Amino acid sequence: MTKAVFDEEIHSPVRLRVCSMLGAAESVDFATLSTALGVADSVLSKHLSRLEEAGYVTVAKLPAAGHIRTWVGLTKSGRRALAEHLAELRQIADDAGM
Amino acid sequence: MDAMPTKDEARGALKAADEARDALRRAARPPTWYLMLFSINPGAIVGVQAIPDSIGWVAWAVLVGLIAVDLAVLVRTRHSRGVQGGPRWSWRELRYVGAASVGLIGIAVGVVLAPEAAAGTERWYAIAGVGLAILTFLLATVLWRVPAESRERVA
Repeated sequence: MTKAVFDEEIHSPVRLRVCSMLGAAESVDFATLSTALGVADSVLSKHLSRLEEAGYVTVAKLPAAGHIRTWVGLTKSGRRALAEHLAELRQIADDAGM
Repeated sequence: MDAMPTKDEARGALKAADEARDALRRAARPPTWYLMLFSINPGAIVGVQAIPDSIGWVAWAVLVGLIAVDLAVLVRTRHSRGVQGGPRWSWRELRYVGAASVGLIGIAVGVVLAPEAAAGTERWYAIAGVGLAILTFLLATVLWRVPAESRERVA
């Protein structure tokens, strides 16, 4: 069973959406991510840097058809942190006492 | 911890997380026309049996060409969608499940129809081909629209 742990790094609205998207795939192209999120590249970069510092995401630049494509993916600890954070949110949301 | 969300905030955050996953799923999906193109194949394989032997090779050539185009689109789509790995129960998985199911149906239809050497058999091949193409498309469409919650194993 997944532990429930609140994670402030993930809880920011943009970062939670980023992690949720990344959690559903192995890796996602930066441009695809920013389009799906509807945020500016600079905003996404800022949040990705923060998640990268926390060790939750990896960013890899790979050549593709004559240009460089940036792929972003969740690390193992990032996937665990996301699962634990979502479990905590579910626990809070389902808590009849609150 | 002073940053802990309230019950409503937690619900809002969970909803936002679900919507984000759906947005990625939409981004990872191939276009609908690709689904339609793919769904033609199994029916065409059965339906082509209805073509008279004299021009049968032309029909087979067209069919092989169609499948080749389909595979080329698959490769192209896979490389251009910007998502690797894909969501769980991704379009690729759905397609494999759909294709495998229809393949089995096609084999069953073939087994039933093959012994029928009498005149008029071609008609049944043609009917079976069209029916199978429709069935494949409906199957793929239904699987396509299965709600995210039932497809997704929460991490």
